[in-house]
Amino acid sequence: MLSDQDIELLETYLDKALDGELAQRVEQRLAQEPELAAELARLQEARELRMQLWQSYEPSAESAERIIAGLRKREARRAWFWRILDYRERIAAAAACIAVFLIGWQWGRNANAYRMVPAGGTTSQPVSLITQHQVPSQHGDVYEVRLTDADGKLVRTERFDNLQDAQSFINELKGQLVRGRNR
Amino acid sequence: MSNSSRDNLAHSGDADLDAMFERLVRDHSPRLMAIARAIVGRRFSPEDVVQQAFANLYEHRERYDWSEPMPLLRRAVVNEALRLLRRPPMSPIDSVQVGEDASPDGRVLQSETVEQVRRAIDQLPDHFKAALVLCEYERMSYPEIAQELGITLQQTKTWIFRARRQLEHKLAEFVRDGRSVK
Repeated sequence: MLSDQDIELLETYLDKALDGELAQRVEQRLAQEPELAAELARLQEARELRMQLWQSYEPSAESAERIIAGLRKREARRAWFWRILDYRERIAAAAACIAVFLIGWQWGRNANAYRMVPAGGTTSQPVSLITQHQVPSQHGDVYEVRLTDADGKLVRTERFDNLQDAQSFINELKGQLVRGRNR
Repeated sequence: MSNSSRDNLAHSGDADLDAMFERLVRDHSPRLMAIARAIVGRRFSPEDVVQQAFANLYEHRERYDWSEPMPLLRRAVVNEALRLLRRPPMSPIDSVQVGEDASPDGRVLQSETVEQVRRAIDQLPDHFKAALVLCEYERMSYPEIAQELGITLQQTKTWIFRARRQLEHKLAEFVRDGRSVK
């Protein structure tokens, strides 16, 4: 009865993985031990069966062509994907332009919200700046509130004898401004 | 492979496959398919395994040295097969699809013994199958197999030896079962 070590030795011998001296010893034993030689033949036969099986897995040439066709298809898809990426860059640039336009438009709308009619006034021109100035006059200092449009053009000027009146006018204007924006 | 061919392979950026790469597929895919089939059994299509391996290599073709393509291709196929097998099991594919019945000369495997060997091999652990097919079908040395599978030399010997012993036991079981059925 052969041991596992003997069988492993024979398998290693068949794998041509034994060094010269050891291989020679195995060959000597094979010549002297019929049981070992029979086992070697059995192992070889088993290998041949396995080889036969594996060789049967080798496909026809059509299979290689199918693989090539599949690879071509993948490559075409990949190329298409990269082309799409180029388009995506263009799309991103267009989207950025649209975004800039929308932001500008929204900003313009907000600026227009300052359009108002001052209390008791006759103008409905847009007001974008309200400034308050102390102006010297013959009757002492007066307070002037200047309304300026988006272009910096003076729309209206109101003079007040005291600072309190000027400020209440400004507050009233601001109130109208907010109401106008909410409308 | 000549230098110019290698350059072609490395720098082709066209949607069409490089002609040299196509030749590699034609020359090596039969062996690679057999290796893939031996490892994945009926769980996956060996054609898909080989195609994926080639696709991976082609995508990064400039990274590799193509002077010795077969070891590179074989490693890619073995890795791809083992990677697929690590995924959750799927239903077995149709055996006709894998080409096992359509061998080069059109012969059909009818030998009951070979069929038993196939069943026994399919039941081996995946890494045993990989080691065994590389050893016996590819006739690679133990150190080469160890390098290919990223394991130690001793592990390689152990896997191959155990694979053979397990095959023997399985085949003995089949023979015993066959007799008891009769």
